[in-house]
Amino acid sequence: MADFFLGADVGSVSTNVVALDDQKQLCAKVYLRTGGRPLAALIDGVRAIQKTIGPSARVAGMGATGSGRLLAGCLLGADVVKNEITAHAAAALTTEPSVGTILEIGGQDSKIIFLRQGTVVDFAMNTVCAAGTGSFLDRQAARLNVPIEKFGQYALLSRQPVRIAGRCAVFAESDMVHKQQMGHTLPDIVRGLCEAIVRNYINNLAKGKKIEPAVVFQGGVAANAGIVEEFKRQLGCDVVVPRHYDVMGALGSALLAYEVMERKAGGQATSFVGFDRLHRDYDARSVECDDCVNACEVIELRADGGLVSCWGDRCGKWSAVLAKGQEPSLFARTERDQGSRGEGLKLGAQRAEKD
Amino acid sequence: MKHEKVTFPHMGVSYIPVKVLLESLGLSCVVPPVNNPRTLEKSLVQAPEFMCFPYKLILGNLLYGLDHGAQTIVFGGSRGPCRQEYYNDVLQAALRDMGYSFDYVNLNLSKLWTRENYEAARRAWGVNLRQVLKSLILTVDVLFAVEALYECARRKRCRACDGSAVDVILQHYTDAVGRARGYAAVKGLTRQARRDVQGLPEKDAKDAADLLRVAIVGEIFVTSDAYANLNIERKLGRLGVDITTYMGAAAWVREHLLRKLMPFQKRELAQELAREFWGVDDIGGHGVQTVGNSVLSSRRGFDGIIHLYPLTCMPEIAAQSAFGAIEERYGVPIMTLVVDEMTGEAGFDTRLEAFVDMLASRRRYWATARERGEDPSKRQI
Repeated sequence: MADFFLGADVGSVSTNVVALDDQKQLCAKVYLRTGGRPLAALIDGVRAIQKTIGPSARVAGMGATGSGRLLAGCLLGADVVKNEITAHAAAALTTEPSVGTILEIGGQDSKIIFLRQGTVVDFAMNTVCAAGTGSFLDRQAARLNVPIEKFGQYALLSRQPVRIAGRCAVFAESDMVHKQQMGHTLPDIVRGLCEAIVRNYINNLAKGKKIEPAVVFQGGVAANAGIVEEFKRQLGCDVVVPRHYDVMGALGSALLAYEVMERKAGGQATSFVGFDRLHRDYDARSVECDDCVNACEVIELRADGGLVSCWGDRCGKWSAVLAKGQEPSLFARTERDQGSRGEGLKLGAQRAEKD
Repeated sequence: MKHEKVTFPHMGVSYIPVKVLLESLGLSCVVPPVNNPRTLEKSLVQAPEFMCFPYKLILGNLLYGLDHGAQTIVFGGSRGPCRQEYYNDVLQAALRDMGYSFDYVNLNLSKLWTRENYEAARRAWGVNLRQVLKSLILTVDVLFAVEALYECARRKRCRACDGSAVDVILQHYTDAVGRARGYAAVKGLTRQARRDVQGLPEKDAKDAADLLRVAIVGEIFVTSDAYANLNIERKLGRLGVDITTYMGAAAWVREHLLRKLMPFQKRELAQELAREFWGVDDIGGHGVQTVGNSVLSSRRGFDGIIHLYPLTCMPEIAAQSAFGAIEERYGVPIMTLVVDEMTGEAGFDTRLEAFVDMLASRRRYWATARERGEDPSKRQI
């Protein structure tokens, strides 16, 4: 029986899970909308993977990434929990070993990663706001009544793109409304939006740094042919969209898990919890600790009522209590308090997807 | 001497020496709790949206103090072309508009040795010169003791077997200092905490040589206030990074108080170094120092530099424009992080973690550069 390596990328907009075989070949992938419920999406994703690779498949390693990586790591027992930059770079290097620049546009953030000789030497991420990312495109597509999947095709129909301000989502939106009322066609507006997003991306992230080939474009937005064309035009070079562009983060984390397990001496077992334990009833919620002024929001993760993990305590004392196998008194205490407040604070699932 | 309660705003751990100063002048203090989400509860409603984050925290501190029985506010203003120059007047007006009445003592922190400051203290509390000088000496002593403790903590976090033990000690220390009164008690606690931190067991010395070294530069308030910078020192320390900071109350006092006593006045090192990239002496706030400290850290061979500033901080935005040239000249990556009132730390953590990963992989890359025929001394991004 072959060994499989799982990778999960829990992002703000999508949750992706992949399985690699022991030859590092992708044999199953799932792309789901997170929909504000990372726990449910993640469990659905892993179950779907299990269906593809067979119920008796043996998992030899597990990696987690994305803004919900901590949650995913605790829930599934990941061997490696890594940030998206490292995961994306690992994935891109496997599919395109000569990669010099990675362009990645995800749901709520966009990044650019510069590599030399297979090493990440620099990167940049969008700073404060999410203009020009997948969520913004999603919203504009909904507003224009164009299915997001067809957005790119519309852009390619355009002959005369209109100029749209891409710096801020609010400005862009009012610009678009204005251009619509002036009578511009839909394809021209969509193309103008693609142009604006790419212009904004190159200006804010690349910031004059040298973009070396090969340029790889990944992340959910790479499905948009209009954006791909626009990158090719504005960068003046070829842009490669890898076959599994939409799950590159998950792919990367599976590859990282593969490496970690390979390095582990004596064939140590994975900490993956196993497929059968996914059928438990999971519940995450947050509790504000009152012991000091930091007022940390501590997240507790329960499976069938039993405490699995907790995190978010800056001082680390509750996590330390749990590591010793005891139940932190914090949660018992707040259950009592919450009894008088009525419904408990179910913030956990929401917080995990916040970026 | 009048007996009244005094309150003052926070900036990192500067409240410890300030408390000693006021208490040794015979005043009793209402020290607001160290900055936390609740500090902002009332001030966010009152402060203009695009005011900087430090202003909102300061206003929150003062509101707490006045709500808890303080009659006098002590505020340290400074002169220099940054908005902070006006905070003095703006804070007073804002609080009075909210219906509070209080006495206000403004100390000019740019020129600590001025008659103006002494006169302000004398008028407010009837203290004499001897008392003021004595308190100042005690305060400076505590200031440097606290700085030494936190410096020791920074050093230890990345080297200790269990980095979180450092923060447990610091948390106990913070609690105890909050209850302590007067110079002797505070100094004793600070010393004890430092001994405790120093006593924590360390990992192998071999690992220590491999530690990544990162410098933190930027706006003084957010680089020195742990709440404002989302505990960046703790986060990086636990990721195993050796951190150096340049800004803080102790550095300020060294620059504006102690150096002014020297018979020969020399230009600050950071200002001197900034001249390589900037032909100006001052662009407000600590913009020039940010550029200079980035150059200094690059020359000292740090692996990376993290630049912090609060959203809308003009001097730091200007300083940021020099980074491209500095990175190109010295080949040390600089990452800018902008902070504001957000508490969703996921994005912040991701950037820190990715930056540290990148620094580690760059180190590996340059370690084998010679084999590929590249010259590590001519490294470029």
